[in-house]
Amino acid sequence: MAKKITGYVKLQIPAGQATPAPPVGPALGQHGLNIMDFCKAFNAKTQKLAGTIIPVVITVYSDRTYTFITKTPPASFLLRQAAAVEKGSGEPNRNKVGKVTRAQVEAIATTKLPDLNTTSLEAAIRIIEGTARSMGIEVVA
Amino acid sequence: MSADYLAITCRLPASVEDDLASTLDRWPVLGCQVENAGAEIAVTVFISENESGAVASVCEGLAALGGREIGAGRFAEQDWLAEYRRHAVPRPIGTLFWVDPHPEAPTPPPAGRIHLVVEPRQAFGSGSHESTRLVLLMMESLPLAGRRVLDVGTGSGILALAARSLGASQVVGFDIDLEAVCIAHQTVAVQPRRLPVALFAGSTAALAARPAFDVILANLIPAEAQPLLADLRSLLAPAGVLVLSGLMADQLLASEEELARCGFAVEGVRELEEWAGLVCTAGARGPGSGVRKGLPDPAAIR
Repeated sequence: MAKKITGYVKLQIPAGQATPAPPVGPALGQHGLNIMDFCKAFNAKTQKLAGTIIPVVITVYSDRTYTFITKTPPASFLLRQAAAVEKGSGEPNRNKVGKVTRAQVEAIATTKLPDLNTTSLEAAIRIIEGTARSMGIEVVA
Repeated sequence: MSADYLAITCRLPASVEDDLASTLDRWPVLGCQVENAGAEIAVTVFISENESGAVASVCEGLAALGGREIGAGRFAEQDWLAEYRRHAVPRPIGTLFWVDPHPEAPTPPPAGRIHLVVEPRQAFGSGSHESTRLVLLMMESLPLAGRRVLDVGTGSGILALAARSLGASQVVGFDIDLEAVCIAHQTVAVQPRRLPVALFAGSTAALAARPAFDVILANLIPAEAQPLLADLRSLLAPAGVLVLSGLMADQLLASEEELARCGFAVEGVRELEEWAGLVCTAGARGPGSGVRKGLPDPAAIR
């Protein structure tokens, strides 16, 4: 018999850095979940993305077990990584901080596609290009 | 070691939920909780007390996303595992162990099982996680009687105690988290049978002058294990065994390469759900050495 879902918990946590501190401790603790086990699993799954914040959706079942899915990292993080820059520009129109290629944008759009409000890769590419512009990252051929 | 936290609450248009992570990752936040509230989302961002300087800029960042009703306050540390503990029940692990979460009211184990009392607290290793169970399962077939055992990242102390209960002559457990070591001390103190374990808070550097260990247990995620492997190789006796757990099955290949590079030979792999554990011996050092030798497919030896 399928287990009964008693709720969902949505958190955004630094990749590879989950600890029993808030938000994890209080959010999972009130459902009677094993906080330490969640931290281990989240950190193991996201260790390669250290440096960004990852949205995670935890499904809580009536027997106090859980499953979780992690969302893709923010487009801004993937763009900074691709352009090898530490942060975006404060004045994106005037001050460009880095460059990414069209192929890199397409790769990021493909990664982000499951979490974007579109199923079209073309539309996803336009969204990523917009984010790049707003960060002062140029898209080059 | 209780600490307080700072909490910033606000309401945001639901449409900006996807932009929240990229906004917050500019500051040293602990993370946030997001709750649906009609066309809006209610967001609580947490910041550790010693980063209070970031509060003003986080509030500004949330306002720029369209946040309203932005407020900040303190959020007190609590025992967030209390509810989990209330419902936790003793469980058999493998063929040898009986892990009991209630030191105040222990349940005697079925005949032939070793009683380990481990209260689930803010130190990893309650016995419920696959990576802990994997080490306990792998220990069942290791010669531990009379051996010197090192438990790296001991957490609750469960693996150190298990090694001692299987006859290890000396067990040393350590953790970089002082709170975990305090909890491990208390775990050692509540065992029904006396199981002395030496514990310290610190790193492998503190062990350099000691004689080598016959068995090293390390339940660490790859990002934590990888920087320690060279040290662990130096601490391992020539005929010793390293038990490595805490990696996911899809991280096996990368971990095996890293182990080989640091002079370990992988002798066995065991998987449980999506987690994997490895038994390694001290192989030759250097690239290309110590690679897994003609082992069956890991999936076949579950």
